[in-house]
Amino acid sequence: MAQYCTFYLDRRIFGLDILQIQEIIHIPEITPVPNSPFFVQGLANLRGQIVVTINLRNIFGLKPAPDSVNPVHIIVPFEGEALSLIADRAGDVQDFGEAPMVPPPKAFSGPGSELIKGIFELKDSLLHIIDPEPIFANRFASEPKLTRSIP
Amino acid sequence: MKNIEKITRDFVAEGREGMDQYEQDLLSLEKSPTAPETISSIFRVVHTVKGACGFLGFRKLEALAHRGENLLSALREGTMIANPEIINCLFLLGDSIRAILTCIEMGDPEGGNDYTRFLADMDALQSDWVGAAPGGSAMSGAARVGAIPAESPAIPAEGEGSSPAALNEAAEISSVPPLADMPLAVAPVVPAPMETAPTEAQTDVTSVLLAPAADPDPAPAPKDPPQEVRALHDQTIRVDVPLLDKIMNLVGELVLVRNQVLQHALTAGNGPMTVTFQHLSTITTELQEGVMKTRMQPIKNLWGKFPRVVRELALACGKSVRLEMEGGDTELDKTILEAIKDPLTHLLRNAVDHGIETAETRVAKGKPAEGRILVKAFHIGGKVNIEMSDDGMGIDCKKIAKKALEKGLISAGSVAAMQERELAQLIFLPGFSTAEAITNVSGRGVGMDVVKTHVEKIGGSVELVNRPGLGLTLKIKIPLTLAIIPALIVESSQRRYAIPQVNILEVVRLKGQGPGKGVEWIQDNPVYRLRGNLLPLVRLEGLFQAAEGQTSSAPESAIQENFVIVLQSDSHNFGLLIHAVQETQEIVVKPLGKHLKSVNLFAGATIMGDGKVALILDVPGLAQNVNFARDPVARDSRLLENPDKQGRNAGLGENPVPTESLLIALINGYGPIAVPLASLSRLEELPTSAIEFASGTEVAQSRGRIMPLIRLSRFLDGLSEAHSKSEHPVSEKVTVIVFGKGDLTAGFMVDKVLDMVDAKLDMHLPASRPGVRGSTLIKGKATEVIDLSTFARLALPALFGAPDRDG
Repeated sequence: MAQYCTFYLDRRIFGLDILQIQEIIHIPEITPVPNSPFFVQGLANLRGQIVVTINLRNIFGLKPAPDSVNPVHIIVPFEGEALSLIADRAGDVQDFGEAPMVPPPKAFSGPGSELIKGIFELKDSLLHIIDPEPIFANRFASEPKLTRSIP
Repeated sequence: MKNIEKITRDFVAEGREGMDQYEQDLLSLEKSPTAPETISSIFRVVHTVKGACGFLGFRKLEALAHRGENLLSALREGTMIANPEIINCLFLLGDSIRAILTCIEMGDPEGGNDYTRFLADMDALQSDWVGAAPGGSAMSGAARVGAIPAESPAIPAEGEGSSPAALNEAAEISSVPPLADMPLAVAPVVPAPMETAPTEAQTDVTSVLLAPAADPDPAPAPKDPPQEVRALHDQTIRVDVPLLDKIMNLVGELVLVRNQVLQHALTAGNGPMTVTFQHLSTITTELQEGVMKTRMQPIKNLWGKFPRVVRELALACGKSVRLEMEGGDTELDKTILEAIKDPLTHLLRNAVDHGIETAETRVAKGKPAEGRILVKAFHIGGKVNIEMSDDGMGIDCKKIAKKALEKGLISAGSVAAMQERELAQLIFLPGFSTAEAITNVSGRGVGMDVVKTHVEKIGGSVELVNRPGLGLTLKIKIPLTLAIIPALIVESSQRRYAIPQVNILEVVRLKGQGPGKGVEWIQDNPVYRLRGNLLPLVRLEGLFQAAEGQTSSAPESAIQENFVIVLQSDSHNFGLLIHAVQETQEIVVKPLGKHLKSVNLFAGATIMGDGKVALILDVPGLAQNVNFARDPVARDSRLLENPDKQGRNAGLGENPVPTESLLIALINGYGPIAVPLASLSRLEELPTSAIEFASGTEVAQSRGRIMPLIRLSRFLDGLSEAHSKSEHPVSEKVTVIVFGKGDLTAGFMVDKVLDMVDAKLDMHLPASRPGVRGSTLIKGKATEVIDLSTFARLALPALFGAPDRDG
């Protein structure tokens, strides 16, 4: 009976086990790192600690966020330090009680599909639960084309 | 260790320091056996130990020290004279005392070893001496000393003062597997300890277990030079390394906060506050320096043990080896020192065991009988360099290749394709080190892969310079992985970067007139003329693109930048164009993390005073992405460069660059070019009207033959075809450089012959395309040196045919 913190990317809604989250915070300034992997947005200063920020939009093959979006950093502990997953905005905490999580369909593919651990049904949409493990392990086949947009 | 009282702990620390001194004195006693000061110094150490154990109640230790005192006073009074046998005995005494000290430290009072036999032997040594003439009964002494359990076998050196019988006896002892089983005091059997070693927490325990006689001293405070030990030992305290690490981190954070406060102070700018800040700033800097120093130790702390390693090993191998050490004061972070301890010891053992030949072989080869090993340490380019050279036999590449083939490490095909230098590198292959290799390969290569792995683990590198028959030099470079470094903060395209100051040679402000600001261009590459040298320039953006595989498409544009930072990388200096220089700052280096490990342009990141993150440029990494760094010629000369005085002329890199006679010609709109005189047949001047067309190319008559003409400008980029065509008809005459090969000739048209000079052809910039050998400075002008034969082949493949090396 895990609880999930939801967040938005473009118009999609995602969930992450709250036990995996250290904090959610706004960080005004990110220093880009030239020649870094496609999913790295840059470096941010989290109270004196330098964290690598992960651009989830790039991972899911979404277009860059418009300027109007003030992104949030979902800080997840990683090897004694921390990583930041950048989302457009944070949602709320969802508790699904004993309801089982539906595993992603086998045919499920596309950019970022390796992150999707399972799906819960919401009233009007599907909540994709993500597992950041492939990000930790730095395991991405290649850079997806940044053309796909959610209808 | 925790349960023993402070007084005992002090005793152990003091005893250890004493024993360091003791061993050094013994080594010098060996050289001058009657020097009274040396004997007194040794005596004092033993006496101090004895005095302290008297009231601490360490009976065994006291007994040992007491016998030692007896022996030493006999030496001091001159009733006995130190011979190799006595010195060995004293070394063993030292080892025994150390072993007991270690036991005491572990909380086991004096350990379980039984020293009664050794004590008896020491007595016997003395009574035998009294009872017989020196040397007469040495045999029994040697035999007994050799029989001492637990310690090294005794081997009389050079038979001085020993009877032939003693020698035989000793020879038997030393024929016990000499290397693997001999528990050398300092060099535990490799590589096993290296695998377990240097994590700090384990150090004390592992080294104690593996090598009872080794010095497991984790003393974090820098040790004083031996001569001052006695005067200073009550001024040192022992501190836990983890505590030091914690203080180190805190000071790092403090520096950060100081920088942030400083930013506010600068913007606020009110009087009393500023003064306080300055005070804070000064104190922080001093505090930081102080804390850094606590972790720094001179490398001679490590080297102190080398003379004995060499001595024992040389004796065991029946060789005569002299060890020279330079730069012992070079300081290293304690962690790094720990990490290189085993690899260095291993290399040293290799040098004695496999490198240096026996005295007879050496004499036969015309070398001095005594082998020489030179160990040097110095700081260069922000790294600590340690070099170990010997004048032994070097590596026999053929044997190495054969061995590698047998072991299936490489294929026969690749051996054939490898050069000598590459073959020598095979010894670094994992799997090359086996017991077999020790006996079958009389070169080196035992456990070298382990050495390499260990050095690379701390971010260092190992290079090898092999001079077959003459010796071997191993160069180890270790980065200063210190947490706080001074750096210059620069701005390029609105981004801030930190450049470690160790990499910066100088900062040049561009003051030239016009949009170029004094920057010149060779092809699309900007260069700057700095005191007569051509300095290649790079833009950060260009590097970032180059590293991503894009080609920079910014030819000769106006220079926006105002400064050139002259950077030093391994083999080349280059200039980085940047917009603004901000300030120098102490920055805290933070690692980039796993996800950015593949980005080799940055050494880390740091948090600036305003809380933003700035990237720290990795200068060697940048250099790798600049084309010139891949120039093979430059790399070769670096590899072959020879630090050993004896081998000055052995490396090709040391040879002076030969001078060549050059013809300097001008091509309008392009600039001067240089043609080696040796490559051209003659010069001709033709009226423009004499140029005719035949079979699609321009020709002219020359000496009764038809000579095709080539417009060099066609092959020199940056000059369009149209431009070059419009250029020529203007003048009435053209100068033709005639290139001949056999009966074939070709004429290269230039606009004007400027000069003939003798110049050294040291290329400041390597060749950028076929036909151009490189760029050099001639009479203060950047000039491309061209190769006519390549151009002839390019322009007239039908005549001059396929590539021909002889040109």
